[in-house]
Amino acid sequence: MAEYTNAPIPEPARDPVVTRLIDSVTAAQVSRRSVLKAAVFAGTSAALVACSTTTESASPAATAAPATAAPATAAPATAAPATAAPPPSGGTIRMGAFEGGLTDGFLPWKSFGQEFAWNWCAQPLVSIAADGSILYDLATGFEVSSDGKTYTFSLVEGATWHDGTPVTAADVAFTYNTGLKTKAGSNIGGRLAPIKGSAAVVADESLDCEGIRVIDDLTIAFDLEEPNAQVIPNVFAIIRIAPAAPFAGKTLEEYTSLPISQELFIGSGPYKMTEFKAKEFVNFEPHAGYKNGTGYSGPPAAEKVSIRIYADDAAQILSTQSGEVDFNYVRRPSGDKLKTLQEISGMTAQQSLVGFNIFFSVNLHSPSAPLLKDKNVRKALVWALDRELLVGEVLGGVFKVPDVVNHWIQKWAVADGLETYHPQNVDRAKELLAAAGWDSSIVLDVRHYPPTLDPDIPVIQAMWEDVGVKIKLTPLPDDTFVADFYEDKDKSTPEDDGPNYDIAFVYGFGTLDGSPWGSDETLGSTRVYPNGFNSMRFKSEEWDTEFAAALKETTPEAQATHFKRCSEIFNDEIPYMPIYQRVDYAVVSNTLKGPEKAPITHPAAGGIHYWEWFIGA
Amino acid sequence: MLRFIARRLLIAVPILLGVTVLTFTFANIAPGDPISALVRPGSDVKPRDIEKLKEALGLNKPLPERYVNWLGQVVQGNLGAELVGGGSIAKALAKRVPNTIKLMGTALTISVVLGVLLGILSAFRQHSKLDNAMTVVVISGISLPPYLLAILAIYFLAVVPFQLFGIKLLPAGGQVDPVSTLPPIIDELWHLILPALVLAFAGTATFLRYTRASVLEVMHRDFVTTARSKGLREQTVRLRHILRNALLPVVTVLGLSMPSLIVGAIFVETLFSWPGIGQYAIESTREHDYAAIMGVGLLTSTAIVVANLVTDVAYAFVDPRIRIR
Repeated sequence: MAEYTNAPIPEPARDPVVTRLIDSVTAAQVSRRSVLKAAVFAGTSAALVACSTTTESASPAATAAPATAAPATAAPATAAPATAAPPPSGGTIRMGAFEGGLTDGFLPWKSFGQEFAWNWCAQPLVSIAADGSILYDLATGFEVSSDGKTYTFSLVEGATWHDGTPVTAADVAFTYNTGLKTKAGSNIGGRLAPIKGSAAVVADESLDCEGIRVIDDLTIAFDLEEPNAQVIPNVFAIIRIAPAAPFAGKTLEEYTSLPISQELFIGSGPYKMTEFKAKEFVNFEPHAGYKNGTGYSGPPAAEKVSIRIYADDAAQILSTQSGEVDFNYVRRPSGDKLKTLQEISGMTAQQSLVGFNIFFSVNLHSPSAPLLKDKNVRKALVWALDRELLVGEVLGGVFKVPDVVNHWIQKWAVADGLETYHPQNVDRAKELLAAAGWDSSIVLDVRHYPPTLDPDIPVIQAMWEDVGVKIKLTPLPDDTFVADFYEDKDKSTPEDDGPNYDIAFVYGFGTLDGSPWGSDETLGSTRVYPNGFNSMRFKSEEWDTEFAAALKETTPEAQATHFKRCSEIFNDEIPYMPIYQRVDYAVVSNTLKGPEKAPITHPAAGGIHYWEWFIGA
Repeated sequence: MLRFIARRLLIAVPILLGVTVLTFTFANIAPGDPISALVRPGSDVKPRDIEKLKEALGLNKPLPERYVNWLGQVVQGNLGAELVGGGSIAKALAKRVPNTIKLMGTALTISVVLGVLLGILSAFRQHSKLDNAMTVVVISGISLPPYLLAILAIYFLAVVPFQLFGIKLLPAGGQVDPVSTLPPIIDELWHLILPALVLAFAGTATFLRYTRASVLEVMHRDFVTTARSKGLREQTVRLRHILRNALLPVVTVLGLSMPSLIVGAIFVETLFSWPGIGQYAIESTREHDYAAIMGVGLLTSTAIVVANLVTDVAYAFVDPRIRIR
């Protein structure tokens, strides 16, 4: 049995949960932008990072029946200091939210535009911090059976809902079971698919899932169909827990219209929701009975929290400039907007760990120039680019060049010595093209998104022409982006004909899901749209095998071995290529204390100690 | 009169039907749909779910069938549910209509009062500095897009006072301050000032222009000359002969201003985070939520038809020379 603790991870790593949450937040916008952001690569293995501190259990017996001692073993080392003394406190924290502000209510199984409020009022079992470490929230720890198929969580003793009733394992089971029932408004059934028996519940919504077992009031076990190391970041760190009692005696169809769904959510998080006006604001007050798995107990630091919801990103910035909020998170500001944010008096613009990425995706199935299937040509296309120039001069310095070919990989899963394809090497590019037999009369069909021509694309075009690669640029329209980018170009034939371009420049919030260590959603050979998001039609038997093997491992060391090999394959093949990554910014009032304790990530991200935030001098 | 109203209401039915057909057609033939926007890597909605979801929402049926289904529901007083959020469209509209009425009503009042007063002054002082200044107001009001005007207004009346002097002169947006200690009605009025002024600006220019033109036209009519030649005081001539006749056509502008007010509200509400119909229209369009777009379209077109009818009737009342047949 492996025991998991929340000991810090030395290497900072991108938070997969953040990425997934951003996806959901973005979805709430449900705009064409959302579609564009379709290149999102969420999913991950931050848990695996955390797992890097785990140890194999010596006792198979303990695996069979998780001992009550186990949670104590798993209890974090940070628990004691957290309980020792409450931090300085006071004030009303005024937050702002734009993306994700489209919610009409709160239900943990409707992953839709609610994330901006979740961390203040609700608790998942665990959450993943920006450094990849696990923050124990409603759970004090968990154990994994030696076969990797059973996850047993111990819950915080004495945790209460905002109405004062105790939180029990039955509430956790209720939440996860309801997540499998679409009649209850759930859209997370697919996410819970790894749990044993989930398909039966999805098919017959009257059932409860056999893989969700309440052991006692404070212990719950989840049995998986197959070992799946991704369930911590992809499932247990995502689903917030709701109380069962308000839903008792109601039909599934009634769930979405109950007061807890539409008016005031009852959670167990640090703050209690006291006022909610859909698409306008949410107000919170401290929950005196708050407890979490880090050992913290008692009311949170601030006297009140208020989240304003904006209908427009310009409104968000103007409101921040007018001193109406203490914290606002601004997505992908342009150089001009960033300057505006940095000039707001009394506030500081802080770079976030999260951002979106520009990358190009290659048609490996049936490009008009078959030479594109030669990896040397793809490598040459990257070597030809002066990305430092693009980032600094062309794009106003709001991007950065990735450290390795795919910066979305958690560092612990990246093999040593991967090629960075940086800085620019025109000679190398020419050599590779010559070796591949490139004909300079070939004109590649390149599509770009957004459809308005961003300033970097013509510069890229010029850099490629310098090494003898000509391209014809065509915009990818907003509203047909998904079809144009992913789908088969000839739907009249039963077989896949590949996408209708040679290369597509797109952007997304790519982090980990598309990487070899998250899920196989974008690189698995069976994941060509609509079975996944493999737009390139990348097919590597070895990659598939290594990835599947990694998911079956229960120790991080063993997982890393397979994932590292995946990263090497990716680095050598580069079916898609992140060109540069752009960062988001948080604008934080100088009087708001708390955000400085951890790297800035999206407010919906995991691992943030919101209960410690307050307004100081 | 009653026959006139009844006839106009009957004519309104095919007009509204036509509007709904056009709205439905354009909303549906536009590329994209509410499902595909949800599908992306990392999302809980997977590509393979698209067809199932389309079926659940009735999006896989032929367009005419979907329109007839929608119309059948509307006839029974049911605007349906939002495709994306799942909430009742009628409830959403009912929640937002009062907010839009507050905003548009205030803006219209400001427009009429200011526009008419300034128009009269401008006409009576034709070619003066004031008249020239009013011409600038008219041109600005007509040519400045509400969205740009809103940004400028927020910047100069909310951002600059706070950034330079630490003064919160006017709020940058919202209907209320969620943490305000003011009485709710005062807080809401405080939040109403800026969006109402912005929305009123274009209307003020329109009323000013119409009033000025109308007053100038009447000023040169024979009966005004006759009145003066009879030795009436200038004040009497202006009040009883010029204004009384000149202001009648302005009533028609009231009805005509409804569409532009609605269009203005769409932008102003969005930028000021004012939770009204305009903001709802933008959200629904972003989400490709056809059902909600139809609800908004039906409501606003009905409002315009009714406003025009009311204007016609009111015109007949205020001008006895008009006889409705």
